[in-house]
Amino acid sequence: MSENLNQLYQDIILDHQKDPRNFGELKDATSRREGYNPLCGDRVQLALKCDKIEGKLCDIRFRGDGCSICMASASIMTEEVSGQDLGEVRRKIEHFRDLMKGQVDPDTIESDLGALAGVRHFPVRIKCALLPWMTLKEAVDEEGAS
Amino acid sequence: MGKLNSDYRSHFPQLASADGEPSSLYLDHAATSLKPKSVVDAVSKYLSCETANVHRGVYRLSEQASERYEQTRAQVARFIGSKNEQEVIFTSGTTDSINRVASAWGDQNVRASDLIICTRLEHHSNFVPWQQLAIRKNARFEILECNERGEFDLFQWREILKRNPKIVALSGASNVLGVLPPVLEMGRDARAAGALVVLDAAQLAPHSRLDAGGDAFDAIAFSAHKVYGPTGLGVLWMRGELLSTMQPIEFGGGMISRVEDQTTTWAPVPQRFEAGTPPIAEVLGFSAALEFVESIGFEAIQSHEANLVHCGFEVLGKIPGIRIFGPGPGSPRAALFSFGVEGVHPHDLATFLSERRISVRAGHHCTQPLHRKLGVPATTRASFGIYSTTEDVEKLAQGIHECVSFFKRSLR
Repeated sequence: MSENLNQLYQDIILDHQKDPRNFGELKDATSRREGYNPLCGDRVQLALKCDKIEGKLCDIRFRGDGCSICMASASIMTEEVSGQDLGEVRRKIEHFRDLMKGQVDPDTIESDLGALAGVRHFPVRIKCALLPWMTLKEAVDEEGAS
Repeated sequence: MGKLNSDYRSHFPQLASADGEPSSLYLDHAATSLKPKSVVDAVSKYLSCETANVHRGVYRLSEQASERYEQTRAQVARFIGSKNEQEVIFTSGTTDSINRVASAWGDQNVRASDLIICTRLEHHSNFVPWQQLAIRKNARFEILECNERGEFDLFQWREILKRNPKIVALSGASNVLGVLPPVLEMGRDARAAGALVVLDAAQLAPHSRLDAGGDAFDAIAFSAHKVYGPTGLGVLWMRGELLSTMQPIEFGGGMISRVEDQTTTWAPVPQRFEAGTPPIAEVLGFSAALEFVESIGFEAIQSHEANLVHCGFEVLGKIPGIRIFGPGPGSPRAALFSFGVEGVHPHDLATFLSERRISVRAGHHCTQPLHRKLGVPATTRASFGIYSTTEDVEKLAQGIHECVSFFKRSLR
């Protein structure tokens, strides 16, 4: 069995895919954003509830149709950012991008996020892992602007 | 020319296993075919010792290059069943060919409220140009629907014909479903109803003789690189009477007759539609590719493919949770399978198989409209060429079985 495949499809990833956290509808969402990867058909829909006065991402849900990497990444992402202030959310997005670029030592990550580190060995799949995060960035940027 | 030794694989340098390296299994013929050595050699030979431009020099090298370039044009005409090589235009590919018809013929002839028809099967290259033409001209753009097996809604088709469509764009073989629509019959019906009929033959050209000399089509487009030839080259065949009235859309050297200060006259067809220096090396490579295909013969090719399809249904059909799209076993099918596997996303399947050095394609294969109809965001596709074997099909099935087990392990 390929070592790389085991690194990519760690149990944590498959667990998040089969049992995604924060999956579903958010009725009092303050913004929604959809991300789509035309090359492969991955689709992610985010619903955010932001408190502008506190500058906080109070709650987040996602829906979508995509590969295990995309869906697991979305699930892990929602756990990372839910309840955080928006500055921290932005920092986490950049941190994940750096992780995908190979600029972060995965051993320094304690949460399930570290499980996504294996994606960087499969360059074609990096887009799948990034899709939810880039969609989140657009949503947060829009919240900041309005 | 003699019949080719039927050990087809031996002709393909990419399939020669390097010492110590596990062999790689290429199952993406529908994206681009592997190239026989004769094609590689023809391109290298031109680039290394026959280089000269065409139609420009009076020295021998240029004359030779020009002669071989034009001979290839005649060879293409024979390959597609046309008696008139002046109706063959070299382009940069199927996409370029179809776009040219949409621009040169479409922009000049389509009026507001005209009806343009595509089918649900179409590749983006035979869908988007027509959609955009309709938008530009305020014409109506409608889609002939099909079912999961790629069978058209015949009632809708008859209704369409009654409305005298201006353009009907068809596909000779679906790159996703493998279905071979009855394009000869449909083309004749559409032309009888007054339509310009455009055939996307990208997937059909390596599989059977086209009907350029017949009465079913007005334009045929296909790519060299899917018929064992080099990339960057395609063919547009179009009826001479249409070409003679079409204004060129690309201007420059090679397509002119007299260039005055304020006006220019055009070269005769087909040069009129080949501006600039053509992809000469690729054309010569294409000549070798056509020779390769003709020396095997379409009958042998179809028999080989039918064998692979039969094997495919047998071994893939046994995979638990597999859903094969397109016509069922026993119906004619191009040598490809697009499928879904329960519990495994196409991307994950393709990545897993890639680690096994099996190359398949995952995604929507440039057919978002069709995948919407199928109700899936993506499929996995394995497609076969003359170099593929039933062993390859079995290895593919084995790889999929292992992938399903791998992903099932996390189920509680």
